[in-house]
Amino acid sequence: MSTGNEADDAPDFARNEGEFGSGEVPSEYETDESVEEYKTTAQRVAGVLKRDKLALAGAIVVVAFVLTAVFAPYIAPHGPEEQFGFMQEPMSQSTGDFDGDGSVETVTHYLGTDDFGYDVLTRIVYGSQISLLVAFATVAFAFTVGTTLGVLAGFYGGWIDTLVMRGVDFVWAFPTIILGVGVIAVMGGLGWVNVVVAIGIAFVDDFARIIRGEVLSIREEEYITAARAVGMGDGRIMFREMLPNAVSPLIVQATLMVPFAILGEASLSFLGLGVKPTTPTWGLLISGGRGFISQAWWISVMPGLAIMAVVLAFNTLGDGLRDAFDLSEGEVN
Amino acid sequence: MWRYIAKRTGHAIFVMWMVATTVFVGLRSVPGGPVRAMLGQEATPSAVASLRADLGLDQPLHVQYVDWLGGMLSGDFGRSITSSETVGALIGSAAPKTISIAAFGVVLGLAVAIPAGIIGATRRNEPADYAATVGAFVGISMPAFFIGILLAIVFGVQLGWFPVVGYTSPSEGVVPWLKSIVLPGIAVGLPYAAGVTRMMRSSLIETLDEQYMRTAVAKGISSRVQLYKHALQNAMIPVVTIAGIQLALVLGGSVTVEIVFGIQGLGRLLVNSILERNYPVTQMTILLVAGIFVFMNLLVDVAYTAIDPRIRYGGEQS
Amino acid sequence: MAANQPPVLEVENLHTQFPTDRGTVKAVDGVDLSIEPGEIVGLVGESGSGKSVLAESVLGIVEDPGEIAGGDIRFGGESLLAMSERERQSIRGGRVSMVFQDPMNSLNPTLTVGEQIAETVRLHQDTGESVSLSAEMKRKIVGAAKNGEAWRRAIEMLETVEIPEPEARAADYPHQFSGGMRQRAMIAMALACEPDLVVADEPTTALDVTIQAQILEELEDLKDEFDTAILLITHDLAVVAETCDRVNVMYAGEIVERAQTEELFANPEHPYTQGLIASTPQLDNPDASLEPIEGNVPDLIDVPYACHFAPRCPEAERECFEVHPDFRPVGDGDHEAACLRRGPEEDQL
Repeated sequence: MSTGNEADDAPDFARNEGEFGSGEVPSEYETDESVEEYKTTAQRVAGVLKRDKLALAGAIVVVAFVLTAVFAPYIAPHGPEEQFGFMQEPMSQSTGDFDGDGSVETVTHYLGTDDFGYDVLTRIVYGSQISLLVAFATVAFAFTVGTTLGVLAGFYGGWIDTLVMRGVDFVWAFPTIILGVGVIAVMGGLGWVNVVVAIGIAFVDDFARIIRGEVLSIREEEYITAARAVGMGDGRIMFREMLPNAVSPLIVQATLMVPFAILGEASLSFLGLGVKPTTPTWGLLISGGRGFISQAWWISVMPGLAIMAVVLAFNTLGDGLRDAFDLSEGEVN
Repeated sequence: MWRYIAKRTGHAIFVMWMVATTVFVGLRSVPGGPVRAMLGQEATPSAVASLRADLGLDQPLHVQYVDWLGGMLSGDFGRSITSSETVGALIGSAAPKTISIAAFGVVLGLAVAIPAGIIGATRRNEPADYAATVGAFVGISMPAFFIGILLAIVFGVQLGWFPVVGYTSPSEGVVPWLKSIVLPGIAVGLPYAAGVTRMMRSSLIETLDEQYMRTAVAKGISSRVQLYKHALQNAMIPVVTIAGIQLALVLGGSVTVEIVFGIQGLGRLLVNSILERNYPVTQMTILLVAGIFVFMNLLVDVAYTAIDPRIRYGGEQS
Repeated sequence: MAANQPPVLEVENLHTQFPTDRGTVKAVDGVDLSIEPGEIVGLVGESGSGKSVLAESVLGIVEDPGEIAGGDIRFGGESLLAMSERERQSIRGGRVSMVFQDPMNSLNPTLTVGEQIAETVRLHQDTGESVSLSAEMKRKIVGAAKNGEAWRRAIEMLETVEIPEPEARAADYPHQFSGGMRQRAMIAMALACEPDLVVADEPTTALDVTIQAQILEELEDLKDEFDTAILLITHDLAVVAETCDRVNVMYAGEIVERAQTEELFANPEHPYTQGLIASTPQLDNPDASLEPIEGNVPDLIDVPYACHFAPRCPEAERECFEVHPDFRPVGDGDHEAACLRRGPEEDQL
């Protein structure tokens, strides 16, 4: 039914010609379409930290922990081998000349002293160094091995994939501590490296899985085909093209993994199978106080509370980061 | 369904074999050789040689392997280096302790976690939910042995309700036995319960959102019946998975918790055997623990057939 | 049709809303609808038109935070909104029931099909079987009493919807049924208590075309057999043309046109309806050009213009944006359209 066709290309069924055709509205009804802003990674993290109070608290504690570990000698109130009275209660005081300057001062033992007379707070502060170090080393180990395996498995597929992932899966499911103990047995002794491997091996799976997922999903993407066409070798493709995309879940996973590494190291130390540094790790501190729980419970409890605080902090921070990067719980542990 | 169970059992046996082989190879690849590690650096060559012969380590590897496997299948688990008891006897006295504690922890953990998760899901963001969530969070933030220490201090030392050291066998009375496993049981059960609670809660929340729950509402079914008759079984499926995976935590935790409470269980045995380089004991203990672990996962697989009709009865028949 | 019977369903000026961070979504914005006993009434609309929310409102199962903010829904003369939730619950599934769109996910995977039918029977009819929580749990674990009346009725219903070997099939789980059979089971479930009204929300959309035809035919037969009225909600004009006695066309929360089916397709009046029909391929006129309606269904948050269709309407005038279009009689019979540019000459813009 033609209505006299001008520029108006009204559909056939329109009986009349409207002042406003399809898609046109009077000016006062115009609405702006709002476009979602693109936020950089840093902005999103900042956003989450502002909203999620728990994550913020976690972040603060994590930073405090790292700073304490790095600057331990400056933060600790006393020396780790400085002796005071034995098994003094938290918030008790000691009077004497401790810094050898001839004058007598009074110091407060906020967390008490242990069976050797060492200040518990000081020992905890020094202990953070090794705990932090080992935890980070463990995560780094698991990260390296895990991403390598994951990239290989995802890239080559087939039986390599099956073999690697099955093996990694089993190791992951197996009780961490027992696995760790077993690895230490096999590696023939104690020491730094053994502990890192012993615990790290259990966490390889999480990283491997994430990377493998990314690799699988982009393996077929065009820019990989393009890279191949240009003659890029497999290795370059894997590391230059595929890896960078998986960065955010990996960061979240690493953050969530640190607390497990701390717990694992603490357990191994507690068993006497961990690192034996000059100043004890938190696990060793707890172990040391075990015989005195009836008289001086604080010797074991204080380091334990420290572990708990740090683990909680990393967990809340990791959860918050996971939200910031918009990852589901299925993707990251 | 039977095919599924058979498949899972086969898989379990295969895994056990893999573990056994790994243990076998692993312990023989200790740097310097296991015998030297056991005797120490100053050992005389003749002492080394005789111990090697004793343990059969001078045979070719494949012969050792067959001997070892064959021995195990016929009940010969070797002898302890340090004490002259058979490994079988040592493990036999240690295992019941660990198993009691682990079982108690799991049962208690499930009994707490499942209702807690249900409450968390049905009363979201109410105080009860927060309590459950916080409890779960705390439960996974502390190493099991620390929980054990705290419990020992509060309930053992301060209140004196439970013993702090030692295990009492059930043959000496059920109540004393229970009292001796309560605190260690809670210590290993709490981290376990934490994981299960979180999964129960999130799984139930997801299930309640499913389309078939809308159908139930549209049929006029009361909300309590909706929850228990319609939603719960569906929500349990992922929970069974987690309950299985988290068993690793219980087994791992018992290793350290046994030390805290001075219980001569498998954990103690394992750690001591490593420190003493008592490899025959080490390898059997690890194997046993792996065996318990694999077996428990097999049970979980079987549990699926009870919970998910899609596994119990095959697929479509039009 | 007895002239003195009240309509099975009367929706009057219904407003259903969802408060959100960005504003209130007016999913159902002043809808009138009525259904007489034994009729099949179609409700046509695209996704986003509010038709599913309307269905949920009738059943009283609008999900939080949605709520009915105004108007009334009368069922057999009684106001549903004035009843207590308890009373509504007793009607739901019994006198009015719903068939959902997605048979794959609308049946509970852990209950047998027979039990899912039987439980409505127990709830809404007098079978002498208990519906307490403990009885239900026992039934879940051990299975329903096979010689109970509810179970027998479930088998009967499966037979009615032509599922072969109904006795054996009743003990099967939904995953053992094919898609078409699942939908039939849902229909059986909806009809088990001989409701006065069945609300069918896209009952055939998720099914293969051949099965679609079968299901629709069955719905019609069952309607006669059980003397049930049906509110058939769909976006598929072909389904409507095939099955319905009367049709309501819905757009952006409002009904824009209603008529007897034949009349609507012969003389569509509202520009939206016209556009809808023009954009549907016609089998008997394959070379006719398809004319899509420009634009998208609006965001239902605080729609600022009076006629919701105005921005996309080729005939829109300024008044269309400012004055709310009322229903004007058009065409034959009780055909009416809500458009300022339709109706008797003197009322047109």
